[in-house]
Amino acid sequence: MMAKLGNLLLVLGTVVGALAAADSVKAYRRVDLAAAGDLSGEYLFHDVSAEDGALLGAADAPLTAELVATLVAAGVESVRVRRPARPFEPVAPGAAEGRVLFAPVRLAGRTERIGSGRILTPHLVARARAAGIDSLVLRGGAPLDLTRKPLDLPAMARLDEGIELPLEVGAGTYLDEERLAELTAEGIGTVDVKVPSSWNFADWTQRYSFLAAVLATLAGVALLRRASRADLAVPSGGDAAATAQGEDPRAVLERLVEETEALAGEVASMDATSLHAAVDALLAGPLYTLIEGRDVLRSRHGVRAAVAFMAPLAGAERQLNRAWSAAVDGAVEESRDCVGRALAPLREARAAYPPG
Amino acid sequence: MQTPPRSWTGAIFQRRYREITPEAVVFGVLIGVVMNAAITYSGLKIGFTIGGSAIAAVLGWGVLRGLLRKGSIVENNVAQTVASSVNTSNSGVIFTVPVLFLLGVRIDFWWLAAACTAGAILGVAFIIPTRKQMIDCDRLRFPTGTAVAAVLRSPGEGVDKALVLLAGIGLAMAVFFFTQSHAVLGIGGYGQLGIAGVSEDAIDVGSWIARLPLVGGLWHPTFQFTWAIAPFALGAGFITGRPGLVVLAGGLLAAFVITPVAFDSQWMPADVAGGGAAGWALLNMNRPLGIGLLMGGALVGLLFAIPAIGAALKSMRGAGEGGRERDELPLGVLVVAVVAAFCVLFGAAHATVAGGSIAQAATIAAVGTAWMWFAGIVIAQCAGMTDWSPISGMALLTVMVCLLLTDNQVVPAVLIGAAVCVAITECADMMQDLKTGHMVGGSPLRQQFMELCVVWIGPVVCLATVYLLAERNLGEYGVAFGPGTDSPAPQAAALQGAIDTIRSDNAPTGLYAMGGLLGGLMSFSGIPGLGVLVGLSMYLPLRYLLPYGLGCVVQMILSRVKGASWTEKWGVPFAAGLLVGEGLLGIVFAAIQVMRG
Repeated sequence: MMAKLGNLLLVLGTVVGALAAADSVKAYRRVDLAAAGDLSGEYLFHDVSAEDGALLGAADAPLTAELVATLVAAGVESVRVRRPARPFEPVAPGAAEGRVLFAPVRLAGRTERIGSGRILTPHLVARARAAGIDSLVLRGGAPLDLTRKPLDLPAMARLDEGIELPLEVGAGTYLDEERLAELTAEGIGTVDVKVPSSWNFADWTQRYSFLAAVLATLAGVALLRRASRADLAVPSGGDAAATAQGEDPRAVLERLVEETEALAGEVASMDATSLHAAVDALLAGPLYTLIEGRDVLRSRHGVRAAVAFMAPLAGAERQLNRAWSAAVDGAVEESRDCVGRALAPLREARAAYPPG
Repeated sequence: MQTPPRSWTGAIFQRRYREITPEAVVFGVLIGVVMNAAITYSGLKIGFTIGGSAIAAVLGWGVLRGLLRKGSIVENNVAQTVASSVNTSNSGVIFTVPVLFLLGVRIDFWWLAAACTAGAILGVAFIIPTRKQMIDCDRLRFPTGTAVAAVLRSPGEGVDKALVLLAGIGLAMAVFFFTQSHAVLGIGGYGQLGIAGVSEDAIDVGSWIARLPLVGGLWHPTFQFTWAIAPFALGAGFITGRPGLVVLAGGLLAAFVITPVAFDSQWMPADVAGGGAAGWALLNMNRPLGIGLLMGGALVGLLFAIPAIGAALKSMRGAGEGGRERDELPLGVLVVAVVAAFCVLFGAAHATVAGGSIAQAATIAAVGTAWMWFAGIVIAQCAGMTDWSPISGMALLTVMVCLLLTDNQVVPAVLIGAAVCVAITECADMMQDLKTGHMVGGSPLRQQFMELCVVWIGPVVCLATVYLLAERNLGEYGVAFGPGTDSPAPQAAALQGAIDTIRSDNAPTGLYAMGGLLGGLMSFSGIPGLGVLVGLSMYLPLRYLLPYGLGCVVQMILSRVKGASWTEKWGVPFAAGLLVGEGLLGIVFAAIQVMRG
């Protein structure tokens, strides 16, 4: 019951927390028209209608003083505005250092050679049109009439001959000193640059939901850990009761050590086939059972005890795996040696198995 | 019984049982170089890469055992370790380096190669001490490592198991063939069947449900229910089993809760339609939140793992004492490797930082190195638990941190980002190979030694391929990568978008922090890797998570009906075949593309 409740709280906390977090980057913010003050520079995020259905302000309309007055007069108390109001702002190159271009800037005085074989993209077509080019020849000789709208651009269409276009500084370009000097030298007056994030704690309407989700997750985690401790504290039956197979791991470990010791005593007289079969039986039998039950050991006796036991056990397992491989390859001497080499770590694992 | 050699170098070059041999090393390097170049080329075209371990293991049998008639199982393990080590750096490079070309900046090839090589060495050196914790103690599944072990062990598993493995390979190849046949060979694929909702590589089951008379009315326009035709995902899910279901949970949370709620609540801009809602939510909500969850979960998970790592390190320090054979490379060797690689990384950072600032170069090299350690453990744990590696998320975070530390200088930031990405891919690969080695009885010491010896080759080959392709594209198209070329480098383009966001002060740091808090809390639950897995899957493509989850469910049903032992004995070889078959055909298609390119 405790575990089920813990799981439920964990799931609920995660889902609500993720949704509340996602809300923090939503594309609008709500403003109170009476208390907001100057709203010039803001834009409506949605259509705002009066009670009778008449449109008071359309989505993307600038929130001028006149529009605000109309909305207030119609009884509208709050509206949603775009966030950010505009994704870019025009600035002079002198004030644009460290900013990122929002839209490409064409440098009319300089040209760029677009090589033959270039795959045509809608952006390249737009550049060619802007440069006054009416038609292009595609590889294979087919003409492409750029005056047609909409243009049905064939997939992977390539230029047959290179063309000259005005040089373009692409959107996303970082405006460092060198780049700005280039723009200034070309006489560019203003450039559109991206606007930095306007994340504001006050705009995050679901912040209390997030807090509640964090608390729910915490409670779920606490319940799960408590349930896990309660499960593992069952005293009767020791480790054996807690394993899926119901076998006592200590007895399985003893059996593994004894069987490996017995095998090590017999390997000198065994051929590759019988070695392979004997090692296979050890790996698929007691060793497999022990390894499958490792989580019980970790939970009941702690990480350090589990490492102290599992590290030598895994070392022995690797030696037995090597004995298996060597037997398959017909390297009988190596296979026999590996069975012997598995004994020391197995005994180490037996000594490291926690008492009780 | 043979006495163990006194020195660790003596233990490496034992001759009793074929393990490290000239044939294995030469074969591994050659096949690794070929795979690296081919996968780099196809990765720049299609945006994702293919792991090389399974392919190398299969080819290893053909060459070492078939042609040379002397290969052993552990020798093939060494060959496959070498090959995958040389090959695997490509995903780290192609996620990051092409972004420099996309941004129109150039960097000296040799500095980049030096940084990536340093990253590769650091990745290997950092992850070796965690082997005992992840493989010996936590027994992480590492589905690809398990699959490769199934291939290597097949000669000793009997005819029946070998047939099951082959059936898996055959089925995967038959199914996967028609996903690429049209694009690569011009032979009709699934997309040419003319079935609505069926494209070349996926089936849009959602579009079928949306057309159903009763249920269709309830189907939300943002719901994505597309299944990739990906046998490897099914196989990886099967090998992972029940723990993998957590991965599906994060994907479902992102696709069926956050995205539709955000759409219906108009949290997205008005011009985002139902079909585009998933993409918008991924970029602006699910990915940053998922990365935060992953990092928070990983940080707390690492705190919990400190006792285990400490005990494993203590065990490493005591190794070789008392006449016992040494399991791992000595800590001293790893320390020397780390110090040398750090110096190289610092040199590369110093050469690329504006004004040659020593303080900035030292800071980003140190932060990058520390980040490699942490991110490498995270990536290896993710690969161990699920087979997925969140490289793109790590690349993004690395570049973001380095941009902050260098006043937005993109060249050193991407340089360190590339080194980190190479490091973490090597971490995941090293652990997959060590898992394989454990299952076949390979010596970790010999695997680690070989990996450290050859790991520098991969970044050089991969970078050379990228630069050659860039030169060719510049000559033919006028641009190196991106739109307008046949090498769009989609992963690097995504990173370019992220760099734009960071440099324009629009990074969703709030979401990272909130995700980190939730992920950290989830990791206290005692459910292994909960925060990491939910976070990871929130930004992985759901189309792959669905068949992966199906694989988990099939394994659970079979375990219940036929028993865990039966499922392990017969199900795992078949699932391994699915993983290997798709990988094999993938490399064939990549090779065909290279030959045509």
